[in-house]
Amino acid sequence: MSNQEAAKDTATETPTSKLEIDLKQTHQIAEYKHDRALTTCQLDPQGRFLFTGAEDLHLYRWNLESGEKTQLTGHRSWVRSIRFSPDGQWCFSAAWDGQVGWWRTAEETPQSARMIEAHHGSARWVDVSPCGKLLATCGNDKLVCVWNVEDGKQVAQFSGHQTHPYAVKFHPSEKQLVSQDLMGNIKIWDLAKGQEVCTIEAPVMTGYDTKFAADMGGARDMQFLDDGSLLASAGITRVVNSFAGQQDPLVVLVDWKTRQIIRHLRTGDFRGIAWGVRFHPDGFVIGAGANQGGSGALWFWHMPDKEPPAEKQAASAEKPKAEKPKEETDKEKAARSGPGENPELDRQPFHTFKLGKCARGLDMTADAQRLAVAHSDGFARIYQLTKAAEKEPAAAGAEKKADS
Amino acid sequence: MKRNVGCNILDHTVSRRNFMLGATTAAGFGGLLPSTWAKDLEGNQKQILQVYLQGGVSQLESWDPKPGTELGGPFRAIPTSVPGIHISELLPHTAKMMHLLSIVRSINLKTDDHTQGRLFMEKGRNNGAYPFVGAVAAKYLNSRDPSLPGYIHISTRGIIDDTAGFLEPQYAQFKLEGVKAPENLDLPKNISKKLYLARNDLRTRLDQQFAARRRKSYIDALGSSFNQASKLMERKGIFEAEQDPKDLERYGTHDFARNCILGRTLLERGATCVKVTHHGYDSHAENFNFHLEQLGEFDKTFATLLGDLEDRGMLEHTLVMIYSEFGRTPKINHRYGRDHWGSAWSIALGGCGIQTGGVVGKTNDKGTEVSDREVHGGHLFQTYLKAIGIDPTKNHDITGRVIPIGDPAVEPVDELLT
Repeated sequence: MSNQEAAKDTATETPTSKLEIDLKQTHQIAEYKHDRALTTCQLDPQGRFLFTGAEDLHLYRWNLESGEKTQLTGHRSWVRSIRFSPDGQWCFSAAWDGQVGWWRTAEETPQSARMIEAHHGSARWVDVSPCGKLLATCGNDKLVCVWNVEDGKQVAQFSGHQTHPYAVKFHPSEKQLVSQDLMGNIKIWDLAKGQEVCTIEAPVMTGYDTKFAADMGGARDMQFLDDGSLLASAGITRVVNSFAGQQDPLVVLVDWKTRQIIRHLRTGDFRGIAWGVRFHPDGFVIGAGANQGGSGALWFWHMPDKEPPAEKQAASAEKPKAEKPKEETDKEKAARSGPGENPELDRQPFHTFKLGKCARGLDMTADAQRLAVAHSDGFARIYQLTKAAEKEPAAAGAEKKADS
Repeated sequence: MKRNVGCNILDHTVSRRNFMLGATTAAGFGGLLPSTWAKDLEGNQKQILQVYLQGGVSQLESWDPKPGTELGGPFRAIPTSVPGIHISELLPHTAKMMHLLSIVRSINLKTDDHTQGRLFMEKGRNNGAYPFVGAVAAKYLNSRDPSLPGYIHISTRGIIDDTAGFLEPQYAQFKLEGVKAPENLDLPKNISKKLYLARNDLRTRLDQQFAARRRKSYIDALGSSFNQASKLMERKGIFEAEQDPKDLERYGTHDFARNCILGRTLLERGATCVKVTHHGYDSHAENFNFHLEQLGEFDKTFATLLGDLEDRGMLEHTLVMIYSEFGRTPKINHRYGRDHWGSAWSIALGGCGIQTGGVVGKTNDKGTEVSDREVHGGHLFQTYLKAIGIDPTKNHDITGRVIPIGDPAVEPVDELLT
């Protein structure tokens, strides 16, 4: 299917009014094909475009209505993370070359308005403050940096991670930042004071592969609930043989007030990595992941305060496991890599939507009716969380536009 | 190219001459390599440092980067201390020492199997019970300090190989599981030193009596094992001595760093071949994150070790090999992994007998095929031996059986040799 044809499909299901979310009716409504595997994706806040990174040197913009693909050139390596300013005018990208780029979202042929050497080694993640004035990045120099969007100058730098930080996120209050590293440590940073507030240890999100003598873990996506009361982090757990992709996906929920991990959102028998997480306003958490064998899944878990009684009753009285010791022996590391079930915290999805290919990135439209997923086969696909919409006049217009 | 002056032509000339003399008088075969020949090397003993990146390091993330190409991955290439040679950005410290190394970018083993690849790289043959290069070196190169085994392998995991092949078992690798003394080096509590010596004396006399009616080599092998054990008991401190904090600061405090410091000590104490294994390169998933972590450990530590060997004048007589059993596929799979790839990959060599600061062979633009100067384990095996002054065209004498040291069908990579 061509991208224009895909756009037609998208358009034919464009709802004119909000439809009721019905996860059992989840279905694919469009796909946009690239010739390399995708690495991430992000929808612009106004719903006009989908931006994707790929296993090449460019950023790609897809017009959701017409299917038009625009290549944004300027990076020297793969783009790992994309975010937009709250008004959607600016797009920011972080790449494996350590650079972070500024792009005008809707420009006909966007050129990089600014490209900064943000990190020595890869720039792993970029996030935009809710007011849109600051950027936060993290990279392989183990630093978390804050930048002024207006002039691209660094305004703060936080050090303290002992291993590579994988993701960084502004708290909605804009007073604090969080970042999470390879070893699962979630650090909270005070923006005004320029110092670390505390570290929340999440050893469940990392594992030591005893066979290959290496650690694997870290956040593959982070998201705050709009009111800032919960943080979700997507990644892995139960490392068995990470070199062959044998571990389990996991989304961890952290209560912001108590700094406690309150949920381990697991994925049944699915083996792989959770690459994306979003909070849905209807009271559930969405995860996207990739399976060891090449397929993927979208998972849907209840929010803690929306869990049905049966799910709550299933949680045993077992207390959370003790925090990991500071100095670990190999045996302790191996034990940490084990199953790590914790019935009090563990929850399984109430619904799973199977994906044909690995998911490597997830985003949700502003109306919370659709998900965009970046896939390992080079396709970005759009999934509708409602029953199929009837054709609308706007759709015909889109078809014409696409055909022209 | 900078020439290594450690192994001069005269060394080889003298050795070859005496070697031929010994061969002629020994058995009448034109090319037997007598173990006594090694004495000629006293005072100028050749040694080997093997750094084995177990699992198959990715050539694209190390010695043969292809940044910006379809299959090149996300990492960039950086310049090195040798103008014109670029290696992966994951090796910044090693890049500064590139003038002490040469790269072979054109290896095709025609196998993607861990064991087959490892054996081909170590034995120079793709089948048969041949000895590893370390065992060959241990047999034919004399040791300044025979109280140490000739071929010592420091690793944190057990890979069991028959490293001596058809050579006597005393030339097999002596395995150390990290920086700690081998087990059972202490006398049992109920046996005094005096009693132990008396028992050993009795055993020696019984062996001599036994040997009078049997093939000598079997008894020699047995006796040498006892002798080696006795000497190790006396030298236990080498393995368990606390490492210098200054070394740990320079090398790092992780297992590989500690193993490399021990490796340097063992070479300084006269071990003929020291092999240090760094695990964790079989990255079928998350290849880039794992190479970032693993090469991050390897790079600074290895570069520090190489610098120490140079500063101490040890590169003049020590061959340095950085190798794997194969490389990794140019194609990136859906798990961000690279799979096994023996068809077009790289190693690096330096030190004794190696012409450094160069690159031999190349792969095509995508890294999918060797495009120039294809070599395999047989060529490299002969190159290693020639670099340390052992003529691979000669023969082992195994209780009267003549077996070529190197595969007679192939030749060393001459352009790598000084």
